[in-house]
Amino acid sequence: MFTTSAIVQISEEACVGCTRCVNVCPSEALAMEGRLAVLDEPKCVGCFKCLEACIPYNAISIRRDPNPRQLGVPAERWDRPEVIELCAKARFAPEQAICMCTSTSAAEVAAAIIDGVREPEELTLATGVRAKCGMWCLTPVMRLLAAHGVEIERTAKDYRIYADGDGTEVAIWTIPDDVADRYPEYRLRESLEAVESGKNLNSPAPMYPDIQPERKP
Amino acid sequence: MIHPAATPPPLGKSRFAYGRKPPTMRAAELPQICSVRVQDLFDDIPDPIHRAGEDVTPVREAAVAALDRVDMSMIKPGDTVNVLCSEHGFGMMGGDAYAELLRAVRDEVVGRTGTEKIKLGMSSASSKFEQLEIVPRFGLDEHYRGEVFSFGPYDNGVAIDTEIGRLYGVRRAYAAKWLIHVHYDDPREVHFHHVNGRLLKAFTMSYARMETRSVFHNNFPTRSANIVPRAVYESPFVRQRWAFSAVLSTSPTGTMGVDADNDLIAMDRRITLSMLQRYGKMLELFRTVDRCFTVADDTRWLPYQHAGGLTACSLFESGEDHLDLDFADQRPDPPPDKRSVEVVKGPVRALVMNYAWKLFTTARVTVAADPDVAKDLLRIHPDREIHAAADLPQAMDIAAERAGTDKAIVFDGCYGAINLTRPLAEDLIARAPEVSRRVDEELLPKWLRQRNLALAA
Repeated sequence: MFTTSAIVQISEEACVGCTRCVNVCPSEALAMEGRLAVLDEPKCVGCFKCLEACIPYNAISIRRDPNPRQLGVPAERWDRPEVIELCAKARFAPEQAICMCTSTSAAEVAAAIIDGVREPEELTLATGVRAKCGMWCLTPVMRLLAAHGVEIERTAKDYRIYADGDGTEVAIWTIPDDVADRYPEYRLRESLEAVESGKNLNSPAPMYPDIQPERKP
Repeated sequence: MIHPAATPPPLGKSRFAYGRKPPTMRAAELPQICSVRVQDLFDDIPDPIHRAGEDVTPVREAAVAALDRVDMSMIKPGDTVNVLCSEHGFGMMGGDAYAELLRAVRDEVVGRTGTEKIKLGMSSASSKFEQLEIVPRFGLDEHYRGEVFSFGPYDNGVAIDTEIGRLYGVRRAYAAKWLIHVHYDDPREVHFHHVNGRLLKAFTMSYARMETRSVFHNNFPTRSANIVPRAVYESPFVRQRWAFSAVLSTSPTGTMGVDADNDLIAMDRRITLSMLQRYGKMLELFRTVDRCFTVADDTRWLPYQHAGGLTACSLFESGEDHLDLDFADQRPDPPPDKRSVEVVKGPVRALVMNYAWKLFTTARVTVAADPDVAKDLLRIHPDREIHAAADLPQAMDIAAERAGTDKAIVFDGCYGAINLTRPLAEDLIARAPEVSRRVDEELLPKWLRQRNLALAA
């Protein structure tokens, strides 16, 4: 669950129609009308990626969201069998937070997909995932979509997401044997075994481990 | 062994900081803050050649000596060169040492190759706006003749086909005939790189698009994730453009020197050895802290602020030995709460926010030391428990009460010493001898064995 607090605004005087902002928006809140970028306010999640894309022109600024919205799927829809199954297929624990900025869980995204959401941008609006930094959560989103049989198609000019590098094809479980042999220092076979055994379910890194050292000098 | 508080590097006004102004008081000015020197804790941590605020001549001399050993003959007059750097280097020890290294690299390349088509490309950490504060402050725009650009993970990408599949870099970072990778050996985010390919990580987290960054974080256990930047580095795409790398070498006391090499893997092994020797004991000492609160009082984002040369994330993530490359034999019991993205079960029970750049909060309880800081915290993190104090002394009192401890550590950018409260100072001093023994006799030999490294005779 993510609550919006700020959105952007566009200065028509400063906008040069370059489309840079449209190219980075994770929720399709921006579009071109002729040579001007326009904002669909209810779709803006306040990630501010457009703001830095517009650095040369400074046509975009931040303002308080006049209508803060809660983006999320109700918790009672997370524990359906098909949601659990989709998470497992994508190699996630349902309760796992897959977006560090918004604390969105795998089950929440999976529930939205089961309910019919198909595009990554729609998932952002449905769950809040990718509403902030976007560098952690993109691959989990794409893996959940792929596990449900959804294929994302993008043109080469659309660099919001490069579909052929989205993280569904490069993972510890796709490493070729010869690569594992060539780079023993990364313990690739051992990691795969840990993942497959459930010892280290997919996400490697409990971001913030909750085990404190017991021993004291 | 317990000294008055050390003087931290100064803080200026920043558009990125909570409150957008320098703090009216630094934690080092508080009566309850004292310091312990890292060399009093561990006498085998060496003296630096440069500390924050000192003349940078020793850094220049070290850079010139290191670069003298590098082959630059592949760069011809008129060739284009991108010198790639990362934002974090400017947050270490005031940033002067890293900036001097970057200036020296340009001067040496111009002098030895004849090309002047050299651009400085700065990888931003959160937004490309960082360039606007950092580059002018160090005069890098002037030194690079205005040829400076910043790039981020959402910029136009370029496909890089690797041994493990297609990955994506940032097009502009790679848009030159030759690449020079200028980095640092700060153990920041040791929980991700485990000092097993430290110098490579930038190929995934500095110069890569967000797809590849997400692959690094989510599709590999961290002890294997450095195959991703390694695959980028070994790709024909990068090999065709690769010139050399230069690295600012550090320790918990300050800048130790500069290393440079055409072979990044060979240099990474040298750096790995020195990092384990110089930082291993301090990292292990942080692991003995069982309950405390922290004071954010340094430039940059919370996890990347320094105390005694270590970044705050070393404390936030101190629940396990991240230098140990073996997987735990048993699953944790109780299992980690995967819903949690907060450090509520680590040693940090509360945080005093005196100064930090906006983005991360990593404790459930945050106490703002200034009304303007509180205003920003409440606006940006409406879901967190945030207390507004009138000033820093009051914030310390509230944090101590909420944390249930008077043990506090200050992340204020100090190298050479840690500013902290006396009870925690006494704890660290008492524990250091056993930590030293354990690292020397048990842990360091294991860490080295796991990396096929040996101490020099």
